[in-house]
Amino acid sequence: MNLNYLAKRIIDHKHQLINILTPSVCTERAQTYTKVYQENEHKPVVVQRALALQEHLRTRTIWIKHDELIIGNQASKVRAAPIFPEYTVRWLEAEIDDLADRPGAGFAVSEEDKENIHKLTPYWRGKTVQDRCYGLFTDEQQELLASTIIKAEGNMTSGDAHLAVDNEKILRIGLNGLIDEVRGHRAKIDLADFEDLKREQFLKSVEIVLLAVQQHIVRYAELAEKMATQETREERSQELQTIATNCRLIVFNKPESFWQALQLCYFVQLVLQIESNGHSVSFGRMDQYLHRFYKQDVKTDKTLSREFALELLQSCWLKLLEVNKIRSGAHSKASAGSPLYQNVTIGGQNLAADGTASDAVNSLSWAILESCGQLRSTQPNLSVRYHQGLNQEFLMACIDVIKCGFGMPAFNNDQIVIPEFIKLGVEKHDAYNYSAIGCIETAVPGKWGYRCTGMSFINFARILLASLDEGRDATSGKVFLASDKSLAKGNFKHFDEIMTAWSEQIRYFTRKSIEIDCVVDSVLEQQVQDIFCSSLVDDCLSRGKTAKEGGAKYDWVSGLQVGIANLGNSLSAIKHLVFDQPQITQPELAQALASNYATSEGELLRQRLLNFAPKYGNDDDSVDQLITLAYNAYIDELAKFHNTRFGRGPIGGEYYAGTSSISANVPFGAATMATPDGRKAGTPLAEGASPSSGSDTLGPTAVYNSVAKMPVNKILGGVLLNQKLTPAAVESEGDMVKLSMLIRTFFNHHKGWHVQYNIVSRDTLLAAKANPESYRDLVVRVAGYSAFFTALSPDAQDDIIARTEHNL
Amino acid sequence: MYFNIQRYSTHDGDGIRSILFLKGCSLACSWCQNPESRSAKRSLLFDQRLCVKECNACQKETGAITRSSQDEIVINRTAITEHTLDRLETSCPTQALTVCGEKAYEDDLCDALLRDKPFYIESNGGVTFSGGEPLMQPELVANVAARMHQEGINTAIETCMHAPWKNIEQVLPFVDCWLTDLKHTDPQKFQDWTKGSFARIKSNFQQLAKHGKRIVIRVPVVPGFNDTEKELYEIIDFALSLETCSEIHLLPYHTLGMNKYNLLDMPYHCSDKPLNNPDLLANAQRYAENHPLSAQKLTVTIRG
Repeated sequence: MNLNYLAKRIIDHKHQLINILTPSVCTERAQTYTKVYQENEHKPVVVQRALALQEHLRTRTIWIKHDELIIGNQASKVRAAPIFPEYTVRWLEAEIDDLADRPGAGFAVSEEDKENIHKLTPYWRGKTVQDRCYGLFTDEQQELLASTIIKAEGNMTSGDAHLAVDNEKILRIGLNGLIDEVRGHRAKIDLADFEDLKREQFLKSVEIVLLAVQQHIVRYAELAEKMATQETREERSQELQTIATNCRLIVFNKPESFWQALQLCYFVQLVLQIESNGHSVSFGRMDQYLHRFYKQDVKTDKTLSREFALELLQSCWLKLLEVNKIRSGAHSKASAGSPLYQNVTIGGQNLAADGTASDAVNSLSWAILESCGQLRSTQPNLSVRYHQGLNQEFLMACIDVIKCGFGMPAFNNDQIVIPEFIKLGVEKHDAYNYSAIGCIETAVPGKWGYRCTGMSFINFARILLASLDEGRDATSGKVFLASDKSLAKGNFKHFDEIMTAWSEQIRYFTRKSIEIDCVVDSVLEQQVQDIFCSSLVDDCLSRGKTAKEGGAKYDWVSGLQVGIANLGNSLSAIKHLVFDQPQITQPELAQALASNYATSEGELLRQRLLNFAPKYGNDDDSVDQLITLAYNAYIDELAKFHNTRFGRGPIGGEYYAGTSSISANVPFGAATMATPDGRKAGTPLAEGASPSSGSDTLGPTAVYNSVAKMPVNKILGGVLLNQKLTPAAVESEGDMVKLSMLIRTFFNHHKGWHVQYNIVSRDTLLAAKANPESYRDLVVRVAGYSAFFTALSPDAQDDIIARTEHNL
Repeated sequence: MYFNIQRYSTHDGDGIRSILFLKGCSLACSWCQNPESRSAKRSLLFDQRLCVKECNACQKETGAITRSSQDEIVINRTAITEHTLDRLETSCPTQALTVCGEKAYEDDLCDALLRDKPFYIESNGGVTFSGGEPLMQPELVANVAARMHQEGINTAIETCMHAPWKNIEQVLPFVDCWLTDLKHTDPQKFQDWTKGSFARIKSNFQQLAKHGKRIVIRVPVVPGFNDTEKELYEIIDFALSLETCSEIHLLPYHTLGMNKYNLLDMPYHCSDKPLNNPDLLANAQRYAENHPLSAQKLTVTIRG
């Protein structure tokens, strides 16, 4: 591997993209969708959506720029974010004039854009997903959402996604093959049958969309041909001609070369993100399904040099970076750095017909790893599937890339995901084919519905505070579920009563979060069918159902629980310092919390809470077991519920827990008053399943031991562990080998779910915060994903700087 | 008595290790970066930067601690008794005032050390005894090391070798790897800088070498003490005279622990600058690796 090389065209392209500080918005999609919806109001929504997508693909602005090798643009201008009015116009109307000034998530909106948006939003008022959700919510649900203890904004203001479609299949049968399949199903439809009538609307829509996707590729072929004739540089002209020829072939047929295959995958990826603005649209196991093309071109026929193959991959990665999404001000704080979380998974194992598993690392795994290590971008989000037999040389190469400091690759562990999936009911060959989706969550590509994680978010820390004060939310003063115990009154008799109060409150909020999910899911199902996406998820076509109607073969989901370490550390502080070895009375603690540790007395009490109670992340059973006990109340309650697809086709239809809460720990912390772990009001909560910043003082092995005590097999939405290492910790070859052993132990012995490393010094981060213009290309790990550091808001930057740095 | 268990240690023996730091040392090296380890009893450390002016928790526990007119804490260390230390252990909310050193119970230590057993096994690592001077508590080391052996865990010791031979003999069967300091070969200079006897160390080395254990000689290279080619060459010559020593680590002097002297109200007499003489270390490395008398191959590592 040579990680210090990049082709000039790639350097130039990347430079162009990372220096777009406030991208624009693109109104083309919104305008076309509005027009087509209006013209077809008598038709079923699914058909309206097919026609709208068809028209948009036919008329939208397309371009080829930056001497790119992989083509396809999401919006009329580079990195512009399209508007998706069918999901929401509410925040858009409220915030449009101030979009340029948002810290860390600014967009430049021209007067013309504003005018276009203002013209179309009145049509959508009352018709959007968000508005219809509010039409269904009870008053209580609305108040809960207004309190932000539960958040589902991302779910009702944008598409679902969080899945990988069946890229392997589209490469195998081509677009014509897929259209034939749709026609086959349509031929069997009996229009005298009520269910079939509904199926026919879906299948008809799929056919409209697939034909539109083909015509869309034809447009690119024509553009490339035209540009080839006008291009003065001979070499580029030939490239454009090849691009055109490739497009002409993959319009109808299955691809024959690596370049064609990659281009087809990108077109699929692109249209998925034009159809819907759901994020975490992932590629699945790209090193597996593209390997036959790579091997044939690079190894066997030698028609493609390895260097050029890397350039093709990097060109594709930069096209992923161009895809953009605009979120409301509130929501963008939870997604620091505006990421799209487009995941590529490599490595893992393959299952042979005789049932034996073998290491799946191949020459393309290496090429993808190297291409990402050279590019150091935020996209794709690169995950490596670890297993005991993973080639040590490959693991060391992964560490070489991690040393580059951009937080990738992250590791997922086959040794927990595969057996747990099989226990759930996933077929063995499917379980072996799982991939990471978005950040750290996992699903079977092309067979699993939306949001294996990414349902509503729930703030554990605030719910604990309510448990300590008769059910009163400390932030809003509202009581959702009243109880008669409070620290202020000092009427908790034993610590067990604290746990009981927590259990009652968390069970209530868990139920409410599912109720809210149920509303959102049912509106999404009825209003915003993803037609193209469903056509590439088994068994949507054969069932004649969208993924949201229960078309997917598997369908487990998870929400996100935020503030896990704060919950555990707070309980630990109460248990040790208020009950077991009483140094602090209940009213004293209540008073200190209410005043946010304001006086010097309050500060000294806070220091006791910080210094004299065990903290999660130090391999201390007393606190680690409290976390599990508290978390289990949530997990136990969750098991009582189903998602909206239960019993409608998929295997599963249930919930599990998940901790991959992106950067939500920052805004959730901002809305959380002081907590008994010594955390002050308004400061970030702990991120994912990681320890609270600065509280893990015994190094990485102790952290792993603590994390492993969590009920990982019940948290299949992912157990997110971020570790920050100093660059000195991986300086020598010996250090790197020891890091590889650390990873192996965590996965082989502890059955850890996931780990990722941020290797960038504190000094570098401080310098980048002070002088952003010199650090535009600095990429850091935020949560289960990486982002450009200078594109983060200052509070998200501070959160990353504060995380404990382990000097190995 | 011990004062720390440092986990995921990667530079004190093979693989991933935990280091048990025992309290009490038989030398008093002026460059020592762990001065809190020197006394065999508990030590009291005070960090003014963490102290909160409005707090008087420690003064409530003892009259030996007062506040000066400048609001600074003043500790009358001679008046601090064992009993006072008991009271001070949990008195300071901010941990500006900490008591260093805990009574060592073998079972507890073994439990703590075994927590990272899977990491030791995966990485061919293990447990390292350090200090202070671990050979001042030979029974504890022997018993804990024996327990580690029963668990199939490799053991190492970091020692200055300044202990009675019987202490070494007591732990010898249970310690696999000997990370032994060799600071100087001139008895007078050794005595001046460490307050110890080189003759005793020399004799211990010669006896140890007969037992076939792995010996790694570690040399702190300290400005003004042994940072000349002549002195380092003599140390290397001595290492080569031991038939079972095949590894030597040259550890350039650093000052990372210098502030601890302030916390202990102790004077610091060594250089306040780390050693910056890469040529010297490279020359010593070359000398050792090309030594004409070298029967066995000596590998030299800079920063072990």
